Amino acid sequence: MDSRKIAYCALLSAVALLLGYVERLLAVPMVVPGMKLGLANVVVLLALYLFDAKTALGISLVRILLSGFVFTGFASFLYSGAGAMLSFLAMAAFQKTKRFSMVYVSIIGGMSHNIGQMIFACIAVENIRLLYYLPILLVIGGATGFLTGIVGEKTIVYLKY
Amino acid sequence: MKKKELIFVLLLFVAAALFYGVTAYQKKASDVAAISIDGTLWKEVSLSEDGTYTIETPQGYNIVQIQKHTAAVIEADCPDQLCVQQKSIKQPHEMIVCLPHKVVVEIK
Repeated sequence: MDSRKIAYCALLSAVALLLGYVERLLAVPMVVPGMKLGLANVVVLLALYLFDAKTALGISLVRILLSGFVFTGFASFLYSGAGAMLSFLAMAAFQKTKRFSMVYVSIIGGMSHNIGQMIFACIAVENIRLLYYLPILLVIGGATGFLTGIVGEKTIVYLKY
Repeated sequence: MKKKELIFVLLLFVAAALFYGVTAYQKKASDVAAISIDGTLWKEVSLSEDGTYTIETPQGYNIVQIQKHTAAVIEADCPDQLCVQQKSIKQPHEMIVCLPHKVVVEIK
């Protein structure tokens, strides 16, 4: 790992943390529990394409840990951690096949984030009926994944490592 | 443009719309909101009587307000405040979740 890569990773982690914060400031009405834009997903997606799965995982973990400590608290840390890990695994798997465009990978990421969160939330509150919200969350995750995927695709052109 | 991906997302929308169409079809008017803490029922409250209920949990408190047949969490001391930001609920199956306190408000 050369210093250029270290600087890149630090920069991406900082951007991911900040995007998570900016997203919190945006007053998006919460129609269903657990919905959010997932702007930070752009960064993990970019890392996945710029570097490799290991680096993307590192950046994702740093972001979740830091935003848990700084902004959201322990419960949200576990909750979004579960989502982010599943989302990372799915994105890495789909990206590795090379058969899907960046936007598709991002859509998969958004949807699996919601699945991971949902599984964790069901276990945490011991209420399986939360799954009632899963279809709508998958749609929201798919739609936001689509948008962040486009952002990622437009951005990566300027970010050649 | 991103045509294939867009179609994929639109298909998702259609699938979800169908799901909610079916659940809305089975829907009956409801009058009860069930409040549970950590998976166990704490209280069932009537939606036809306005009022506020303070839920004390080992992790902190949530204040649920019943007004005009809707339920909402108006105050809580959890760090993320997601339950407070959530829209008020009134349809069966709808719920408000406070993950840090493991509180679920569900319309029956």
